[in-house]
Amino acid sequence: MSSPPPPPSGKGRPRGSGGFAWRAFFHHSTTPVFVLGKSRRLRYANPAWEVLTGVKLAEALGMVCSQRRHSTPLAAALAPTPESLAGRPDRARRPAPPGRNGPPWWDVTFAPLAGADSLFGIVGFVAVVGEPVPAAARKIPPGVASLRDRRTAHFSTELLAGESLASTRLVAQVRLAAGMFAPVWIVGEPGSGKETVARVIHHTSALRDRAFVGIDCTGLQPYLIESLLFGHGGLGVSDRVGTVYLKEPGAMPRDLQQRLADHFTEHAGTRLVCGSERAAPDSVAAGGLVPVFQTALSVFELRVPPLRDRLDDIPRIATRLLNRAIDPAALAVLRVHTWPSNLRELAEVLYESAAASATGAILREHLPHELRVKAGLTRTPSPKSLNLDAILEAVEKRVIQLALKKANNNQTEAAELLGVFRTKLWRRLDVLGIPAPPQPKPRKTDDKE
Amino acid sequence: MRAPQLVIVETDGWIARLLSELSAESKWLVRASRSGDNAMSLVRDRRPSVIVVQVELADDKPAALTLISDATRLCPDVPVVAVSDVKLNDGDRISWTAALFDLGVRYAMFPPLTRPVLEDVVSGLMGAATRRAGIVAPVATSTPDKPKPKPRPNRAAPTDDVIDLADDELHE
Repeated sequence: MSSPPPPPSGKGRPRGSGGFAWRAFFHHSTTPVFVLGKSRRLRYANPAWEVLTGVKLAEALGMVCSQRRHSTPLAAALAPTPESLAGRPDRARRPAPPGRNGPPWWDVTFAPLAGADSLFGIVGFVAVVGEPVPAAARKIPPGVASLRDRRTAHFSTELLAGESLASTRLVAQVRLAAGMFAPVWIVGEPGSGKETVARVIHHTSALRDRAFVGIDCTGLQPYLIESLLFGHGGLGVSDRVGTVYLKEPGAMPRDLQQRLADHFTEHAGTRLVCGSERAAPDSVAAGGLVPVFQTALSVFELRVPPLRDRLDDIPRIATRLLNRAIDPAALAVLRVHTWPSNLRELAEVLYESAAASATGAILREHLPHELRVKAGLTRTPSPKSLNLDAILEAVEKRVIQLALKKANNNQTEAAELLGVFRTKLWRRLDVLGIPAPPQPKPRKTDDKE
Repeated sequence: MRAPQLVIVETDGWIARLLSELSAESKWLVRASRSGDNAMSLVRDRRPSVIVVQVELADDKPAALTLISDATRLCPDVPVVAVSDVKLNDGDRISWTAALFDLGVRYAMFPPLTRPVLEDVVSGLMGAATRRAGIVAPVATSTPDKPKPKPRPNRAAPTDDVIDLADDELHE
């Protein structure tokens, strides 16, 4: 590599800086460094950056680094994360331009510089990770490539980020898991999003150019799982698979568990991620899991918090799921519920509410009745009395009134209709408090004949 | 409480015919769709328990693949089974299986297809999905006196049920 060009003299040495020339300082570094202004425009990059990107600084100066659709791959790779734009240091793994998938990847570290009242600028450092894979291993059906890119963009850590402390911790754990190759055991309540977390780990790790294979061990019979992984042309030995996610591995027979454990401890090329309601030691102690899953295949345990521990995230999750506005009053109702089925239940409620309101914002009235009752917005009707005497009296009263109506208030005819003596009908009228109806006048008979 | 629902997205009805007996026995509500847009609205509005999609493994016909990707992103709890009637060589089959799993399918099936295996895949995933969603299947009408139905064979034994359209085309 040729020696770096001489630093520009007299530049990067502001008054009162004690003579320190920051541009010259960065110029001699072999770490690619770049500086963005507060509007995300490229203000400076050192020669190492020019060598890495193959772009001259003069050509790239002023480039807006963002991940919009029209952005170049280089601008997208250098785009600061929302975290860094909020003033917090952050790191992101990006495909090395001009590729849309890695490896190699760029691990870009963003160090924000705070101004008097807002962000002043960002200093970025680039580290290259991962070896380029041979073209044969990268071969995927072209029709799938664009869909995979969309999924990669969808399953980012942004998907898990939220306002609550629990989600902040989750994102930090996911980043840690993505940065290593060790097997991961994800623990979480039903519906808390364990598989989504596994996908985010996969799509932010160095294995993301290969496939994520999710296997539902509770829904597929053991011979189907065996055939999928170890059958003729099975995925177990394929170099196209990056991560295998086992959903509740304890549901498989122990011999298949052992076979899978042997396979994943011997073949290091594919990463194993398991998701379960229980921690691996608990499952092993209960006898549902072979011990090797505890000793070798749950190196990194990651806990997904239940939704009730991150109620502050509900507005963000709801907006993301529906892409529609939600009335603050409706959000207040959603925060009252404890969500025993977690995100699965929340999604179900939100989709039902969206179906109830075809357009516009989702209001409190569109939420299910049970949630509104729980929030104290609707009173439950008091349970009706089941007193038998009272019910029978009411029925008797109604039947007598009906018979009188049919008999045109003639008590004799009514008694006949009811199959009782007239005296009994009088007594029941008195007891039940039915006013004795005026008797019809006797019909005039024409005796002129 | 919703009934177990099966949505089948295909072009000519052969998957629905293969699954008709099982669907009737299990009393599933079956909805069929020929277009990706209709299927997506079914997924969004009806929230099915399982989706079976016939995939055309051609780059110029990505509708089924787009449906799979969108459906699994929108409803990660709804298992999707991809079924193809295109016979592939080993390398392409592995490649497509990996790609389909990456898009979110729970199982991918290629010729030679057998009815028992397809039934096992769909019934197993349906059972797991309905348990997760708390849906009770309306089939518990048997009395203790009635003989229990024979368990389904785990492996595809009868060769008569093999649907190998690629071979059919060769014979024509």
